[in-house]
Amino acid sequence: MIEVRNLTKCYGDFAAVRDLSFAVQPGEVMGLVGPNGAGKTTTLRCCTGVIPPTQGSIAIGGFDLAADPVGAKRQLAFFPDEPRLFDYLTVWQHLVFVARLYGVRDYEARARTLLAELEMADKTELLPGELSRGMKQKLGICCGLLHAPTVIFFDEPLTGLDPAGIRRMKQTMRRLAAEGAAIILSSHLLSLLEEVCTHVLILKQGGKVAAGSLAEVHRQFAEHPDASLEDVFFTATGDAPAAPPVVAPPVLPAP
Amino acid sequence: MIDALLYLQWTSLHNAVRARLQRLRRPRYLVATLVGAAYFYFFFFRHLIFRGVPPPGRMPMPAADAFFVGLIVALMLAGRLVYAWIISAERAALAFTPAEVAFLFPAPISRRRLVHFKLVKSQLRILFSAVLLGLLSNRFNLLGGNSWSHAVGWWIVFSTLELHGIAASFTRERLLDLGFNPWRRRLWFGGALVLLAVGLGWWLLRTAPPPPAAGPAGPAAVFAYARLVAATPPLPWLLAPFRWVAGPLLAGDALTFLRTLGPALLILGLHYVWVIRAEVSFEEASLELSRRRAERIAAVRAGKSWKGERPARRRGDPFRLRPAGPAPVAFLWKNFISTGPWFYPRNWLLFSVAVLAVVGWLAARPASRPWLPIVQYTALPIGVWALLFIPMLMRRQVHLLIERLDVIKTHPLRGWQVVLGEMLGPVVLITAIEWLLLAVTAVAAGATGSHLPRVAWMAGFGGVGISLLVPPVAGLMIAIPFAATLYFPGWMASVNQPRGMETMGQRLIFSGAFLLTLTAALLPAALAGLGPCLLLEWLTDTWAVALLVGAITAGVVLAAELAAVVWWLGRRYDQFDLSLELPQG
Repeated sequence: MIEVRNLTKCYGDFAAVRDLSFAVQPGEVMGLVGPNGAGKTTTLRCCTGVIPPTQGSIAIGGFDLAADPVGAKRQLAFFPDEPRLFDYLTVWQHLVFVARLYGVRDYEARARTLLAELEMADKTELLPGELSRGMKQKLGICCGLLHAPTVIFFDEPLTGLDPAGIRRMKQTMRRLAAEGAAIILSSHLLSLLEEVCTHVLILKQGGKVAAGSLAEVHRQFAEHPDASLEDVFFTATGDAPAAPPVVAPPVLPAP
Repeated sequence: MIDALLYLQWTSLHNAVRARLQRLRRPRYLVATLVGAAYFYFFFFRHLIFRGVPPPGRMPMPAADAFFVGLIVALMLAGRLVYAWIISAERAALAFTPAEVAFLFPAPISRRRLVHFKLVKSQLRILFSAVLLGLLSNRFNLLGGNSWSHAVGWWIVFSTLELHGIAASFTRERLLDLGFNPWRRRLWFGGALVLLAVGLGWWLLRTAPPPPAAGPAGPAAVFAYARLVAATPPLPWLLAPFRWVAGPLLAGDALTFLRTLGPALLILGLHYVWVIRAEVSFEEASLELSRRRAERIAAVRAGKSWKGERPARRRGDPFRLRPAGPAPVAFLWKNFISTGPWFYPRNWLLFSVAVLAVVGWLAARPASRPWLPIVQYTALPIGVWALLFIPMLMRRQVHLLIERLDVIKTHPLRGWQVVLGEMLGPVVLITAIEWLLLAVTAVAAGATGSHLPRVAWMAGFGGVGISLLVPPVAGLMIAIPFAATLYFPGWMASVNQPRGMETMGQRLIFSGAFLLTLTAALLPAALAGLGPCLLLEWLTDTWAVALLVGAITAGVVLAAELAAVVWWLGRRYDQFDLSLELPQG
């Protein structure tokens, strides 16, 4: 599980995240959402141990990220929006490399199972340059899941995927949650969160404006029973966009 | 319409200069610019402004060497021609930026005007390069003449090359329209070149002076003979157009400069007419070229290497990586694959054996021993280059590490493991190169001094001693750019981006700090090694063993320093907060 207590992250005088607390239990998928500059990326980076928090504590699978970063990181997997792969490592070599980093002794069987599940069993000898965007994403998923993480972070996981890739990614997230993983999913796609998440955390200007299960947040902020998560989001943040201005047509010189 | 294009040029230049000046408010840019300006002043301009101050180190060039410089320049130009007509598969040499493509291609501008726009734009770059190289060549007095004649000479050479490249690309494009695909063109032009070379060889065999009966003994004799051959007709005639282009650059005095200016300008003018009169539809090819160029610039700005159109090729495992074991070895394994199969242990071993076999063969034959000093003197600069250049490449690798930090930091590793892992690759690379060069030098030195047993022994023991020092020294040298990037990431982020004077300043500051830090790291080891070395030599009167023991002692100190540095950098890596170190914007 993920347990964040009083997380604060400051850049000089500016607090990107202020006194944020939340928890994600095994089997839950928490959607992290907020307008640009709300502190989503900072929260995600702090939770994955990429940057240290200024204050507060983060526990991953029972391991304190500050006291035992190696123990905590053994539990987690992070999937960035853009898969960052090594140009000269084949699909299989990527998995071999990750296996050594995480000490996955039975990686060969696990890797083959993962590759087969993601329909990449015949792609083991290909380089990233020979893979499509979706295939790269799949390779990233294989690498991330090789060590059977119990805590998973997704940052805009649908970026650049085709419809089939999008469907597969949603299925993967649901399956991982069903298997007991605690998942945080950061995205601007509110429809995705509505489909996949069990819980939602709405941030604005570094602070929490709403948190809880989808039903709880809906109850708290929905102005009518049919309100979508998008409606709930704008009510909670108070950021509903204004109507577009009417622009007069340009006056062109006579031909 | 030309007004709009000139406006675009002028405004872009004006804004670029203004942005650069505004950036000087930030201390790191100001300091770097001041250092860069001081370098340019003291190295280039001082001697121009104060004509009484003789530039130190200027030496008049012997006439025979001037002949060779001319020959080299002519061959370089010929090489450019071979590239343009045989090797190149580029369809157009007119590269436009994506913005230029978006705005100018659909605009009501004639093709000829677009070509002129590109020619004017390229002149900015050419003029800058010409002035800089003019100052540089005058600084070392490689060519005679003065800065201005050199600048004009370089301008003619670069402009002719630029125009020839464009004209050749237009012609290639036209040939493509006529059904000459690149391979057919290569076959025709390459075949013609081979025929010319064979015919020339046959002719020279009949007319050129014969080589010395016993074969040329040593490099000096080879050069003397090459000079005779180069002066044999028809070689001087064939190389004449190239010598005409390079004439003003190589002119040693004002009269020669003026005499050579006419033919050079005539060739330049003919090239201009060729480009302007070529009515070729270059837009599609230029579009493709600009896309690739934009990709390359984006990659360089992001600190990545750019592979161009050539797809990466699969590389086998350098060694079997087991799933359990020290994590740094995984980074070494990964970096071996990135570096390429040349440096895979087995391949490098085979290559080393082959090189040593050749050197051993040279050493075994008294007739070929005069070549051994060349082998030694070649090995030395390569060794120095590898020691200095590979750590420079390390900056790019550290940048890649920082770029992927949000992924790598999620791995369950301590900082020192990541640092050691990333350092292992270049350290092994440098060590492999240096060990081979040391072995080559030791074999060559041993053979040339074989009549003196002490020399052979010292070459052997000295080589082994220095070999032991190579890995820790390489590690420390690699650690310096690593530390610089981790401690000054904002500054180092701009290292890969060409930014003129301030980049020059940054590099100078970095080089100074590099040498200072390295000296500070090497000094304790040198002192620690010197004591046992001198003591043993005094006791045994044997330099060979004393050197070895001294090297071992120094190596132990260096290894301890390296371990401390890796631990310290690991701590820094653990605490490294990219979002704080590299603020947005």
